Amino acid sequence: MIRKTLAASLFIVTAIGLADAALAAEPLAERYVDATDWPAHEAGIDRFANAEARLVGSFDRICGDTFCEGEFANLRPMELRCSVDVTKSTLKQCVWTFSGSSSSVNKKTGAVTTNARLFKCKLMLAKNTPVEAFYEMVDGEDALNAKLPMSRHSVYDSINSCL
Amino acid sequence: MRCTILATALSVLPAACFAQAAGNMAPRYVDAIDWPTKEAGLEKFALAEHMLSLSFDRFCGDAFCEGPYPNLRPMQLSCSVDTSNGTMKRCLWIFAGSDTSVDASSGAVRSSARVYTCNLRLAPNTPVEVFYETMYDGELLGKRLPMTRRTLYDSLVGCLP
Repeated sequence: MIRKTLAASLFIVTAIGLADAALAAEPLAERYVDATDWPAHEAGIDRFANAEARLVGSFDRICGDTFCEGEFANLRPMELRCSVDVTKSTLKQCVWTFSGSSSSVNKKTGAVTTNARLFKCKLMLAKNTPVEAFYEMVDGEDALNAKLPMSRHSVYDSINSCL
Repeated sequence: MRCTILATALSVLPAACFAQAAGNMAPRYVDAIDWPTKEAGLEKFALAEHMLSLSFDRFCGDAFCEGPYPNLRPMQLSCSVDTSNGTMKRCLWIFAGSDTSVDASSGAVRSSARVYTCNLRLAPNTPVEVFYETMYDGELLGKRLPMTRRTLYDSLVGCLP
């Protein structure tokens, strides 16, 4: 009886130990996350929103004399989204979405014709750009024209080849 | 011979005059910003568009922005006016929305975006002035369009997601 109880106890202890090991082997987090979820879940929301607002502000200031002189006078930023490689704390990709529209009236029929487009612009980030370096650059004086960290291209260059 | 030349001249001149008059004739339909005269409606129309956008923004979170595009936003309002009787012919309201996400295994940013063009369901022959009077109201979206039983909101339902 004692022998049986000891064997059962040993089995249970071993099973618990194996389960713990299996849990420890499970990946703790995903490799890539939204920048708003870096360094922890939702911990980057404010910082990222501030960066996006600064870029949008810069875009709005130059739009009238640059991109908005083209086919779409009302071109506007819709959304900026970046992914972060959590193993290196670097940016993987940033996409800035824009929309623009134009319209005209047919003088004979009164029909209103519209033309609208969406643009998805990838920021020309250098490989393995540290997230911190990106935020520092955006916090600088001229977020749109400053060179992206470790890159010869600016955010302006990135959208200029896209819009 | 002289009679023939005179007759030809007489037939050509009225035709030329008529063609020139037709070229100078004001177009039947114009952009609302150009009514009653060129660019004379700019401010009035811009204010109407602004009020509409504000009303949409107040409404958005509990209605259309709960759909696939939380950042749905008005892009442009464009209307035509029938200059022969000072009424609205057509109004289109353009919206854009986008949604992006991060692929957790590749790090790629996936983006989906769409543009919507919504027709305001105006009553035929809605006078321009009556249209503008409606637009200056605070809660526009729930308000009926002049001479109809439909609200502005009704024009967006079925158009926006």
